[in-house]
Amino acid sequence: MKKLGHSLLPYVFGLVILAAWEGGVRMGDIPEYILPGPVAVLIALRTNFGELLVGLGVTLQVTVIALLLAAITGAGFAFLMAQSKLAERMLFPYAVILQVTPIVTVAPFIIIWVSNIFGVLLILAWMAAVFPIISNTLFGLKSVDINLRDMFRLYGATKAQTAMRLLIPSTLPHFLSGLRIAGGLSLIGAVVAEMVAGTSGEKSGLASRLLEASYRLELAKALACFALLGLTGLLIFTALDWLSRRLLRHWHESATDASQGGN
Amino acid sequence: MPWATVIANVRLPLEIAHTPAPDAQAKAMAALERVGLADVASSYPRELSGGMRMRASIARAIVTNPRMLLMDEPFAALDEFTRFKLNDDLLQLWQANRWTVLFVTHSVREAVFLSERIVVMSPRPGRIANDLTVQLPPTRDANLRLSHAFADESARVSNVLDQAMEHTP
Repeated sequence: MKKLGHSLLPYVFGLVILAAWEGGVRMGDIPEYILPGPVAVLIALRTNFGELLVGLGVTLQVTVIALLLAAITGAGFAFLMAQSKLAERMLFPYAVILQVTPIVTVAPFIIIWVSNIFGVLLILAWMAAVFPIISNTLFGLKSVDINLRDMFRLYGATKAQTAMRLLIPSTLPHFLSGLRIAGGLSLIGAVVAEMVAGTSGEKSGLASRLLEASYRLELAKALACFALLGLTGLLIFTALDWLSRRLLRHWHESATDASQGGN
Repeated sequence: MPWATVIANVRLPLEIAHTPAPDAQAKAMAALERVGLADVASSYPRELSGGMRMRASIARAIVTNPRMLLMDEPFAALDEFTRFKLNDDLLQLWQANRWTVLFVTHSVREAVFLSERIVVMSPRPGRIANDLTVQLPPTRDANLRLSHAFADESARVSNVLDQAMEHTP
């Protein structure tokens, strides 16, 4: 019973906040173009559901593909840097620069250089997502157990054998932790990219719907987009968390029952 | 390797050497049987006790039929009771299999308990200071630690070690 109460806690908290919001809006008689209540948002979500779902599909497509690209290139980049201290010193500063560059500032250049708008969105979302993967994977590659490294050398393992049987499995937890951070960043990247790239028309994503709605002072619809994006972020995180647990359940502390806080 | 099952860990040296899979599996199983771990072959290392992990790593070491095992202070980080227990286990395995083991240790009692021959090294520079044959029966068990013969032999090795320390400049 106690356990059930604990798992319901976030929902109860959310409902209380929403109820207070709705109550405040009604009692204060606040017009919908200033602050719509949750009920109005829900209605806006229902009336525009089809349109918003298409938008969400576009945004999600950018997010997922950019995340996959970030996973592949980030891991590859980290692997390259782990080959030698020299390579790391040479390349890592650029990874940092890539991370601290706000995608808003480079978006205009990318838009000029790449004619395909989908490509622009992908590049920008990728830029937002790739750094935590590089950084965590590199950290993982550098913390491979030295005794196991020695053992592989002792048995005369080739580079490929060492990579497949030692480096990849041992780095996996770190890579996955980077991926979980990158999932959220990729979504943020996709949304911001859509906003700065100014996509429009049938195939525009959820972010352009959000902008459009707020220009027209349809705040309820804008908030509905907002809520959908929030839910999507939560969904992406949950999916990646599940993946992580699934892949590590046999051996890593993070995925064992002991790490569940014991309640 | 914490991410692989016990038997996969034991198979590793064979797989690196490209031993055909069925053959590797059979040899790994045989090695596990020799150290008494056949029933936990498909468990993961974190499910095993410290002693079982040690036996698993011995299985991994013997699976290629080496002519000699090198154990470099394998129990140095353990408390005395665990160390005794693992010494007993190791002794039993050794008595059943009679491998040649080169065992490095800082514990005189451990050396006397496990060895037939003890080579005492001097500190900096590490030279061979003495080469002793342990005057204890080859068939031993945990009770040996309580015997007078064991105490005498430990004292003798300790003295030799003291001499080796004194002679260093």
